[in-house]
This record gives sequence, C-alpha cells and structure tokens, in this order.
Amino acid sequence: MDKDLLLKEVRALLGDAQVNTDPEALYDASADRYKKYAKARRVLDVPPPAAIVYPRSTEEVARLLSFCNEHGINVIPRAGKTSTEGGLENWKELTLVIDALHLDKILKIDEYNMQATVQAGVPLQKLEDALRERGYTTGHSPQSKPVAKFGGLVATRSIGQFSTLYGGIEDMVVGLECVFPNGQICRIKNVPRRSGGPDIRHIAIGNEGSLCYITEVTVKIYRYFPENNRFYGYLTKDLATGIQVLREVMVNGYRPSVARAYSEEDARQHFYHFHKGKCVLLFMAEGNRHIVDATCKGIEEAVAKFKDGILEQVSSELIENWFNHLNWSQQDIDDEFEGMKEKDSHDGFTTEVSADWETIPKLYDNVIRRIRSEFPRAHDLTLLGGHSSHSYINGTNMYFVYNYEINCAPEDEMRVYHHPIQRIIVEETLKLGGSMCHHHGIGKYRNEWTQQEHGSAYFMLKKLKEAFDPNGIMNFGAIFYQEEGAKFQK
Amino acid sequence: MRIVCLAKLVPDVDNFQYDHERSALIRENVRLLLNPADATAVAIALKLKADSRAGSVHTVTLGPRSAMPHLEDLLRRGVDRATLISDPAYAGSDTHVTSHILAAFLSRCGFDVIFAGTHTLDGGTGHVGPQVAEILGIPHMAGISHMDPESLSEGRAQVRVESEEASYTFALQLPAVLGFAYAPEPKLPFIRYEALKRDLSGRVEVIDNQALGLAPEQVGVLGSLTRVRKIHVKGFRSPNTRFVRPDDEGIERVYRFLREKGFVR
Ligand SMILES: Cc1cc2nc3c(=O)[nH]c(=O)nc-3n(C[C@H](O)[C@H](O)[C@H](O)COP(=O)(O)OP(=O)(O)OC[C@H]3O[C@@H](n4cnc5c(N)ncnc54)[C@H](O)[C@@H]3O)c2cc1C
Repeated sequence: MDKDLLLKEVRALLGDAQVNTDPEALYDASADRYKKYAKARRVLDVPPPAAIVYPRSTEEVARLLSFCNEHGINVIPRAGKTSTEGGLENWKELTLVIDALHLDKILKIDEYNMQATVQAGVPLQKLEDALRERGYTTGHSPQSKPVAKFGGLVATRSIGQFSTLYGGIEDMVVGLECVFPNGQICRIKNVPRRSGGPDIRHIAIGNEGSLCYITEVTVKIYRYFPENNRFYGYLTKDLATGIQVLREVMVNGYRPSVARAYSEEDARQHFYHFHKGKCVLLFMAEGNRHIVDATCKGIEEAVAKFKDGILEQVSSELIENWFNHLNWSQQDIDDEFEGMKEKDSHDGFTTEVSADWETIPKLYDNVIRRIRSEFPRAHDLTLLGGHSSHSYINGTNMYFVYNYEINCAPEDEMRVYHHPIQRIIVEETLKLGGSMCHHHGIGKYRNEWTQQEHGSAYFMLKKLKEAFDPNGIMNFGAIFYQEEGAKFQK
Repeated sequence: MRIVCLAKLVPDVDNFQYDHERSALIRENVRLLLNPADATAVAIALKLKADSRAGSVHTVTLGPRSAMPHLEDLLRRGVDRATLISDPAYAGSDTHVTSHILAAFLSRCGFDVIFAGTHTLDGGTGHVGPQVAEILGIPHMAGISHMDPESLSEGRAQVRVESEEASYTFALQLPAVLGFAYAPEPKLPFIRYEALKRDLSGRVEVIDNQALGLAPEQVGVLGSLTRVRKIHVKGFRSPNTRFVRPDDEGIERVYRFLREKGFVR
C-alpha cells in the first residue's frame, strides 16, 4: 500500500474531518521531546507520518487498528505529547498517529466507591480540577500534569511528585479498556483486588503503545486535605546524608507525599535562593491530620538521627512556594521550543534510574565520575547532578540532570552530547543491578538495553509482543530493539 | 593573509561559585569558556577564510592547560593552528605582563593582522589589545563593530566603531591590532560530528617561557605593575523573601517594590 491509497482508505474509514495531513502538524508528529532541539531547528532526520487521525470512539480505534494490522501500517498512539524518550518518534514511511483528542470525556466520578473513569484523551489536570471541586484528588502529579493525558500516563507507567504516598500510576489504575491490533476490544473490570490469574492490567500499563491502544481508564481517588499540608527543607552536607534520611523515614513506615534529596549542582538550579552551595533534602506530609502529625514526627526523628550531616533547616514557606511552581504548562514547553530556535541551548535533559538503598549512592558517584572523566565534551557541561524523588521501602530513584553548551550542529546534538551521557548512566545502572528506566518508559533510544534490563525475563516480554502484535504494527522501535531503526539512534 | 587571533579562555562568571564560609572563590571545576568578544573576532576571521579573503587563521592563548579542549574545538571549527602559552611562572601576571608575553610570541610567529576582542568577561580592562599594539609598534583600534572585508586586499582595514553619539569610520594601515566588540553575529561555525574524530596532532602547540625566554623578574607577580589587593564578590545576601497573594494588596506591594528599584516608572 502506498501513502495515497492509505489516506484514501483512512478517510473512507473516519471521514475527512478526522484525518489531518497538514505538513506542519505532520512535522510536529514526527518526533517528541527527545529530539526537541533538532525539531526546533527543523533538522529532524526521521520521516513524517502519513497522517494523524482522531477516532471518536473505541470502535473507531478498533477499526483503525485492524485496518493497519491487515496492511502492515505502523501505528503510533498519541495522547498529551509530553513523551521524553522517543515514544512518539516515527521511524517508518507509512505511519498513522492515532491521537486521543476526541476521547476526552470524564465518564464517571464515583465518590462512594472512590474511583473515577475517564477516556484516554482526558488531561490529568482536567480530572484533577473536577475532583478538587469535590474535595478529592487523583494523587497523581507528574510535572507534566497540565498537559499529559491518561492514555500516555498509563502507557508510560508514569509517576507523580506525590508518589511516596500515592504510588505510581500502576498503583492507581483499577481497570481499563484497550484495543489490540486485531481489533479485539478488552475491558478489564474495576474490582478492589482479585486473584484471577496474572494481573493483566500490566499488559496495558507501561506498554508504550507497543502492544495495544488504551481507550479508557479507571483510577482510584483520594480525599484531599490541603489545609494539612506541611513542608520541611534542610541543607545537607552531601547527597548520601539526604538519601540516608529518606531511607530512615521509609523503613520506619512513614509515607510523606514528597521525599527528595538533591545533589549540590541540582540544588543550585532549583533552589538558587537558599541552597548556599549545599545539598538539599525536603519533605511534604499530606493527608488527614493524624497521619500528617505522625509523618511529621517521623521526619523530625529521622533528621535528628542523622543530624551530623544536616547543616541547617530551611523555612518551610520556601519549600511550599517552590512546590507550587514546579509543574510545566503548555506555555512553558512552547517557550522552551521557541527559545531553542534562536539559542544554542535548551533546558537540559534527564535520565531516570532506580536501585536499592545500598546501590544508589554508589551508582550516583560512579556515573558522575565516569561522565567527568570519559565524556569527551565534559568541558561543555553546564550542569551535572541529580536528585532522588521517589522512594520505596527497598530503594529509591535517581534522576540525573544535565545540560551543556551546544557547540555542534543541531542535527548532531544527540550523538555528541545526550547519547554518550545517557549511555554511561544506563551502563552503570545495569552493571549495579538497578533499572535504567524509572518512570519515562524505555522509548526508542534505550531499546538497545531492553534485553539487558530484563535479563532472562525478557522472554516474557518478547512473547507478549509476538502474541499481541504479531505483525509488528504497534509503535515500531518502542521498547523493542529494531535493526532498521538503528540508523536514527547512532 | 595570515590572521592571528588573541583568544582568551575566561571562567564562566554566571556560574561562579563562592565559598561563603571561607570568603574565597572556588576555583576547582570552574568551567572555562571562550571570551565572547574573542569568539566574535575568531568568527570574523573564519568568515574571511571561508570567503577566501584570508589564507590562515591562527589563535594564540595565554592560559592554563585546562584551555586545551577549547583550543582543540577551535581547530574543529576551522582554525588552522592554535598556540597555548602556558607556564607556571606566568601565574599572577597583570595585563602589562600579559601583553609583553603575547607580544614576545607574536613578534616571531608572523602575521598580517591581529584580531582580538575588546573586552574580556573576567577582567574587562580592555588593556591587552592596545598594549600589544604599542609593544609591536603597530596601530590599534578598539570597539570595532564592523570591518569592510574589501579593504583588507588594499593593505588596510576600514572599520566602524560605534559610540553613543555617533558612528565613526577609520582606516588603519596593516599590520594592525583590531579589537572587536562582542556581537551575536557572526557566530563561530558549528563543530561537525565528523570533526570530533579528526586528528589534531601537530596543529596545536603548547609553549612555555623557555621558548619565549623572558626574564623571571619580567613575568608573573614580580613583573606586574599592578596588584590585586582584594577580591570583592558582589551580592550574596540571603534575600529577604516576602510572600504576597495575587490580590490587590499583593499586586500593589510588588508594584511599589518595582518602582522603588526603578524597574517601572
Ligand atoms: C515538562 C515535563 C515534565 C514531565 N514530568 C514527568 C513526571 O513528573 N513523571 C513522569 O512520569 N513523567 C514525566 N514526564 C514525561 C511524560 O509527561 C510522561 O511520560 C507522560 O506519561 C506522557 O503522557 P502523554 O499523555 O503526554 O503521552 P504521549 O507523549 O502522547 O505518549 C507517550 C507514550 O505513550 C504512548 N501512548 C500515548 N497514548 C496512548 C494510548 N492511548 N494507548 C497506548 N499508548 C499510548 C505513546 O505512543 C508514547 O509511547 C514529563 C514530561 C515533560 C515534558
């Protein structure tokens, strides 16, 4: 099938109004924020998709998928477009981007059973606003909350800033509806728990559009008590102290909604007004009053236990104020994009990994040492640091942040700067038994390590792809390595 | 036409770190960058070379060894040769000594014209260009915003210098030292991916005082006519943070504050 015929067929399937072939929109759809700089400079090396289509119902999604499955057309599911790891990047000449634009309804807010059902194209902010009016919250608050939508949030296994209390999206999803390439619509029912065989929600959660299209999601909701929020901030002598305090709080069973430890360099960019060149540790306690009181006590005790590494306490007002301005709106994203058109710089990159408590400080030191000594463009680095922002009973994450002066041609930026740095982070993480992808998904650029990430369990992952997407039409290159895509990676 | 560019690596002043407890600048891991006005001068030189108006571009840097990766980058951008003059004996040299060291090298390296930036980000005295010209006995002009490339073929440089009141045009007999003001254009050419792997050996040289043969009392702190008595870091006070609400009172307060500081009238 060629492009013209594809467009004709798709128009016949959905009608003209739901098929977008505007060149500007197609250019935008050919890559996500992974190649943001090349994209802004208009030097992308990947092909544009043939069209962006906007189904209005699950049935339309099913019809589109079976059509693409039959004709071997690549499909990229799309929601809020905040993807950071190449999940939305196109590597095929014949591709349809299936956008959840019209799947935009909040279907039900069930206050008694504490759950809400939405379509995949509902922005998280929209549900959150509707819930707040009634005194509830989703508890999900990624920095991209104003823009990201449920389809993407579930497909990437996203996590929010209050995860230490509410968990990641996988802890929130009760049930969902999704469509497989053969057109099969599956609804996973909403029950508090069950032991009905393996938990099949996890086939859809985190699939990154490589197995199925998510059309509907039901999530838990929580009572919201903003009046009880309490904030703590400290300057610490080093990052290891901060991580020790985080661990102490977690292993004692407390669940502050926010628990973070920052390196000096990362603290400098976030807390310019109070960091004093030191590391920063901060907490937020949230929930009903009794729990907040107990959590605060737990935080204070943990801080007291490690007081030798704590340099001073920071006004909680400063921490609260910082939190209130942390999210990125569409305007912020657009502003960065506009800036990149003119300037040889952007707002930086991140690579997020996780490991157990024992490993994280080692991992951090190894990565920083290797980048400083091995990365050939180390003299261009303007920022290199990291923070831990999501903690668990057995470990935590490390969110490496880095930025650099871009001295190469825009089309070379990834291979000159980002890739070599990311490679060091991934290699060191896997070497120490951690996970190379804490919450952004594997996308298309870390797929080279998917097998190593999963080890012998890769067998299970591969079988899922073979079973659910035998013709390989779902998001070519996402999660699973593809030789044909290697030319875009190197 | 052989162009020699004076190219200084300066500390990234925006990201300077200061140890407030010991009241000292933290010099470890300070990032270096090519002084912006010098980058303009090199960019103009490379543009002349690209337009076949110059045969070679040679950069000369007095500074620490850590400048090396930046000099290699200049070669990757199209500079033909880079010289780093580096010697522990030069530490603490003021602009007078710096000019003598540079002139000692320049007088033997061969050039038709010398390009420089007018000001540096860190020192900002603007001394070095004119002093080098004085020592070499050739003309100098500072603050150049534009140079007519045609004029070079006639053995002179026709340049424009802007002041607040007027724009002046001068012509200098070559050889001369031309001090350029920083300008966002032209930019240095990008480093291409392929150039990163290029063999640069033989194109960047490091020379020390043995090669230049200046007497110990002529260089470093001893030779300097000026002394740095004290470094005063401007700024860092814990800001007096005040929180206001987005209501009339808050807006009024912010407005009054901005007026007080002269940001709004
Ligand atoms: C400024 C900024 C801050 C961020 N902060 C966070 C953060 O705090 N935490 C976090 O976890 N992430 C964060 N991210 C990353 C990103 O927001 C998340 O990955 C988010 O979940 C993506 O949602 P989206 O709706 O934008 O999805 P998209 O970008 O549209 O798609 C993301 C991926 O999901 C797939 N997909 C989309 N819709 C569907 C569907 N209906 N069915 C199947 N697959 C689908 C796509 O094919 C793609 O692979 C941030 C991103 C930005 C730009």
